[in-house]
Amino acid sequence: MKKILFAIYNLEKSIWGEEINPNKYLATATILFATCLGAYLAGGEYLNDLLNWHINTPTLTASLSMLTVLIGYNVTESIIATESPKVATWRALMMSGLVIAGFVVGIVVSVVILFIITAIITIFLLLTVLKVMLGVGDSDNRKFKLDNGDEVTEYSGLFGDKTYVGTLGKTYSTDDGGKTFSED
Amino acid sequence: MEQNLQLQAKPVPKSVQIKQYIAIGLFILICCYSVITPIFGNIIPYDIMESIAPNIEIWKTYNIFNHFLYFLVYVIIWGILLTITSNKATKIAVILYIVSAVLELIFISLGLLHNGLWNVGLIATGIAYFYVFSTIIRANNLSNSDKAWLSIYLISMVMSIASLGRDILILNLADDTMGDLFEYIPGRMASIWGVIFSIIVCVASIRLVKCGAFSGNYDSTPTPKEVYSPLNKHFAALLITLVVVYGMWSILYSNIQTIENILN
Repeated sequence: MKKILFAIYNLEKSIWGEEINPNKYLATATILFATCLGAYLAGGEYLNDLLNWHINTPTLTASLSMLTVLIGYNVTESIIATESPKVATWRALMMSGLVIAGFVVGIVVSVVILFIITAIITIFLLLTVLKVMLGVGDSDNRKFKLDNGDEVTEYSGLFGDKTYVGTLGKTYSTDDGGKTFSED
Repeated sequence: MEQNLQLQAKPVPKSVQIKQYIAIGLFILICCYSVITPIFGNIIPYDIMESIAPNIEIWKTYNIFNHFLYFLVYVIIWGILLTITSNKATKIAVILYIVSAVLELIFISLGLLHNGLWNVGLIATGIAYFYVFSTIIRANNLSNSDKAWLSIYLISMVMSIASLGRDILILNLADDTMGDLFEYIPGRMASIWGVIFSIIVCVASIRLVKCGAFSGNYDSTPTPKEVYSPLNKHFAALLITLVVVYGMWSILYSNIQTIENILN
């Protein structure tokens, strides 16, 4: 957890070493927030389009405006936390890049995740409909051949209860898991 | 580094520690208030607020109430900190903070007469607060970690000055058709960020109280004159950030229709 939280800080320290003294949390917080911002914007737009919902997402301009605020935080910190203008410039550019990257990742990931979830739900529903239409589902059920010539199919209920129906429409019951049947 | 070690070696007196804990408690209290308000709404109900000042717009009444509350608590906190400063420069900075807080309250009250005064006054006091924190950081031999935390205050001041300036420069100039788009800027995501940043500031305030600047061991040796100079990298950071952020905003807002068409 700490490794992820301080990833940006450790990266900066490995590049510039003693030349830089930034806050450990602010950079990570801004990047993660930019990701959330992207996810909120794109995810909301995606659901609005897909389901005709009306999630009150911020406009693209508002999101970009917020993004500039986040970049502003990092630009200030870059200048305050470093001694040389060169390091400050490179750090500001790097952080701006990372904040924008976080925003883009948020957009892409939210849309991809929502797409995968909707795709899975759609495929699942389609398969269920197909199963019912083609009667494929019956093949999974156990079948028993009785001595009186009737063939019995086992159906499972919602709560694990079992019903046994013969080909002629008769129902049976069993107490020993299918070895002997008695007609109801 | 040696100086840092010397500072830490001096034990903080018990009476100073008690004052530090009171200040920290008040800082946490004000942090809780600033976290609760955006999430759960204002503590004082709408009806009561409206009955106090029926002729004034309700958001202004809330704003003045909040500012008055913050003013009271901050003046108590900084009053306590004034008694445990560790050198003259820090003491002057703390007095300047209290004076700025009084001025801020006056500007807020004058803001009832004219909206412009409100923003201009807040920008002026914002710059004063920025100078206060800049002086505290530069006048004391703080550890790197303390410096990094205290710079959170500087960053917070820069961004509040930037957003107040935007209200004057852009929102007052924008035509009505843009109004709807601006509605969302101080929207939900901005207030969530406000909550996150309040928590970071709360940690920063604990570090501020516990740092060498308020250890109570008063050092009467005169502070070098350079400490008071505003020509330092903190003010450079303020100016450069304002230029960068306003540059980005002006590009953004001048292309507002093009940007919105991307999604539609």
